[in-house]
Amino acid sequence: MKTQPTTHVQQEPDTPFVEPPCEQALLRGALDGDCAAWSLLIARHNQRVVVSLLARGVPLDRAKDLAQETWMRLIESQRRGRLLSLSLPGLAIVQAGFLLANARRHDDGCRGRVHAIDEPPCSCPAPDEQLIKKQELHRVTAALADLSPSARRVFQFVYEHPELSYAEAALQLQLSTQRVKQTVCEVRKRLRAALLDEVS
Amino acid sequence: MSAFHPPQEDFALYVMGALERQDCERLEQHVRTCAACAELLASEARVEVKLHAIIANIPRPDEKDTSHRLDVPPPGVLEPVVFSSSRRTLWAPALVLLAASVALVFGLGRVITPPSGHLSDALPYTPQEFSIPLFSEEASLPASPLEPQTMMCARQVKHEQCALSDGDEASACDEHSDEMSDGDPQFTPVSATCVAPR
Repeated sequence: MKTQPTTHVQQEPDTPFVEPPCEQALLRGALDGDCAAWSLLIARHNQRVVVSLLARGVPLDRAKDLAQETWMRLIESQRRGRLLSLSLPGLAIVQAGFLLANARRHDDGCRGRVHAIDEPPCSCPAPDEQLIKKQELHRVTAALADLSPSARRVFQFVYEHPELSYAEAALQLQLSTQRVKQTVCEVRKRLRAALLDEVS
Repeated sequence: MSAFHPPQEDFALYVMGALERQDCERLEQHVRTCAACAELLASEARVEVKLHAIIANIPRPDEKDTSHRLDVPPPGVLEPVVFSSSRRTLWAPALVLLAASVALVFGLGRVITPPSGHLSDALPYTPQEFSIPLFSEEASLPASPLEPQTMMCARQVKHEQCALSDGDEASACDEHSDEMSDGDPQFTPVSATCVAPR
């Protein structure tokens, strides 16, 4: 497989940094029906929603469409007064999952497949699933422990604050954006190897 | 399908949201027509989702303040319950009511029957005004002026259906009345609100 020789980590120009709006303020604004707040929240979290759909085997364009529909549903819910609280990207990912399940059920119905009457889904994972998750958690924790404290700090900060862009995270960490991206990329590579250890 | 596949690192950067815009577009364009790369992208996406889930569940040893995980305010942020009056004016009715409650239970209970059938009607304040501060010594104050009445319904488990909310209903529980009256046929149960949870 030939590969392109280019790998570009996104570089951002050295423009004066404008303090990003606080996530909580945006969430409150969105709950109050502020369109600008919705736009900023969508820009921040849409990628996570698309990635969650890609992870479930949805083709890219379909994932983008479903993500778009997800946001429309959320905004519609807010306008009808049904959205009492908002937590992103979690709520959007869950909503996207529902839409995907509906779409798949509809597609199967059109093809003539018959679904069994739905049993109530069990919220607790199966024991073997739990064991796998526990092992994964153990492996990733061990891999994280092997990292340098600064790399661990950067990685955890970025992953624990999905609402922040890399530039915003870099500002908080008092590092350059480039440095943050490189660190996260390297750490992720190690954690990925630790995660996929079960396969090899 | 284009002749060149994007480097594997780009897939990781894409799901991390760290890939430059033009590279993003190029990768997306390629993935639309290349099944192998689409599968690679899905695989990276699965890793990304797992990592997010795992990182969210890793306890941090250096983290003393875990309040942000539990969505509770850190210590010291909790506001104490505000008194509606000064401490002195709070204690006075509390003591009076304690004495009144004791008297009601041990002595007057057999004689006096409030006409309204509700003990709280006879009180000089409403129970809602009686606020106990959280996390202080004063939490050991009499929890409520209605507390002694729970003594009158000490057999709650046995008398699940026993309603003491008004005089008529109180008489519905004959067994209870007999126990309280010691067999006295003139006994009239004190009407009270049973504050024990059912």
